[in-house]
Amino acid sequence: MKLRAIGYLTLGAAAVLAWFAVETEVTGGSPHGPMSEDMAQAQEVLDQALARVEDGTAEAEAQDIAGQFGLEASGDICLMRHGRLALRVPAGLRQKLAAIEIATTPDMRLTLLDAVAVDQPDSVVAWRVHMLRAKAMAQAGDRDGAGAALDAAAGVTRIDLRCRSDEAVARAALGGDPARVTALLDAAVVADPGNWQAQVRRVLFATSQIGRGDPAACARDAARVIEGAVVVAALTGSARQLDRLGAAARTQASGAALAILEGMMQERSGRAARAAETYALGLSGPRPAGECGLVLTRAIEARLTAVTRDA
Amino acid sequence: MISVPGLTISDEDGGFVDVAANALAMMILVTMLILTISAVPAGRGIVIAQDPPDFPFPVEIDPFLNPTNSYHVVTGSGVVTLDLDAVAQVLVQESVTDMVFPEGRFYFKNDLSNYRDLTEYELQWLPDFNKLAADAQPLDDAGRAEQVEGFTASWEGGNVVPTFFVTQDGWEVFAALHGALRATPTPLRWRTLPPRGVQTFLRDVDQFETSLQEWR
Repeated sequence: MKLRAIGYLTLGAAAVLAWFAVETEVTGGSPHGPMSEDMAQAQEVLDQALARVEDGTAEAEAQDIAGQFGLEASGDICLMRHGRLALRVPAGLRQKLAAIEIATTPDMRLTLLDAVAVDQPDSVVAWRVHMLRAKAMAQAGDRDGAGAALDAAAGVTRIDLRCRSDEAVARAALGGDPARVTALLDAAVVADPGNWQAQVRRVLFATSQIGRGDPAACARDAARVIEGAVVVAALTGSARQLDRLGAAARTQASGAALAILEGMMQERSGRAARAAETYALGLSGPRPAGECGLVLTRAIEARLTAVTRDA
Repeated sequence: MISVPGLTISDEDGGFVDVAANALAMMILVTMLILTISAVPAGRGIVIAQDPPDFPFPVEIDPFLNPTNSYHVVTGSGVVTLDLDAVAQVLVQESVTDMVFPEGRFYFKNDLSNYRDLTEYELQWLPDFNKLAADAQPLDDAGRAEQVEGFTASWEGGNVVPTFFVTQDGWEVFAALHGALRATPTPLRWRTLPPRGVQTFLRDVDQFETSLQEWR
């Protein structure tokens, strides 16, 4: 009799567990409780990213970004990426700034920068000098000094707003709290979506952060990777460069997180079969524990389904 | 009606030929106009950039905190460092375009009419091969080990990457140096320096990266 009671209890517990598992899988709720509002919003962001890739909206927007008139996406600063942002600057002053680029050590660059006099503190020339100083200081290992130079650059108002992208990328390069770096890189791509370096950094950083934060951050990072990969691919148009990006990601991520990035890169470079293999490996390989793992599984499954169907 | 021996052309035919000839002339003019407009005018001495390369830089190298570069010439008699810092110092102090240094003559240009960034430049270097050969530090086994140690320390301690210009008679010296450097984590670039050749430095050092000559 006792044994039968234990059997009924066990069966009941199993039924409850089974219901809970099914419910969690269907609704995407946390195995530890109902889905939080933040998680629901993050999941919505990821779902929208997947939908925008699926219906071609993301691709169309990426092509618009890449097709901007005169854009040189690989330019390391806004003045190189976009034309006509620094007109009528005297050749003599530009010679001094060029000399700083010719100098081979950060210390020499800083010494030469001290010899460059800028008459107008609120001008594109002043902004460029602040950015050169920030870079040289960062290269010399003086991150506080670099931060101060970036603050000075941010104080220049007579500059194209797309140049704020470079300030944000530079601040992100100086490191810090991952949430802050993520916010800076988000701001960088908003300020200038045609900034290849910003897009690449954002995608790589998001890939590296997947599974390291809470599930909501995991979903948002996955969305950044998926949509960012589309823009990156449109900006370069080079399968070789996308492979290099994948190689760079391999040093920072693995498993499902890496599979999303690599699969997207392979998709964008027209290698659907390879992407399907990558996604399949991502599904069978290691995934972050808990809700983040489920989020990634859904995202990978969505892309795998799309790739397989299109093939 | 036009009539010559053996040929009679009606007014109608003549008119047609007249219209066709005028149309042809117009087409030639339009073609010439398009060709003229599409050719980018450039002043004397200005080098029109080639098509931008296909993102030759590897993404794993940080674009903001990217390495700084040192330049070295490898001759048959050893290695000599190219002192571009001295060139930079002169350019900040004086408005010059023509400079002579122990390594050779340098011509600076930044009068590009279509510049974008304020730091764009073109620096042409005409090497003085005799002086370079005379100043080169010989590379026996000990000297090579010392050089490699120096390059490795610069890379690990200062994020400095060496770029080598190899002269025609410097291959043997460079092969040994290259092999020794490849055994270390130090990245490197190299390219040939043809005899009587002019080496041009541009703003972006990735000009030294082709599909064969990249960071490793």
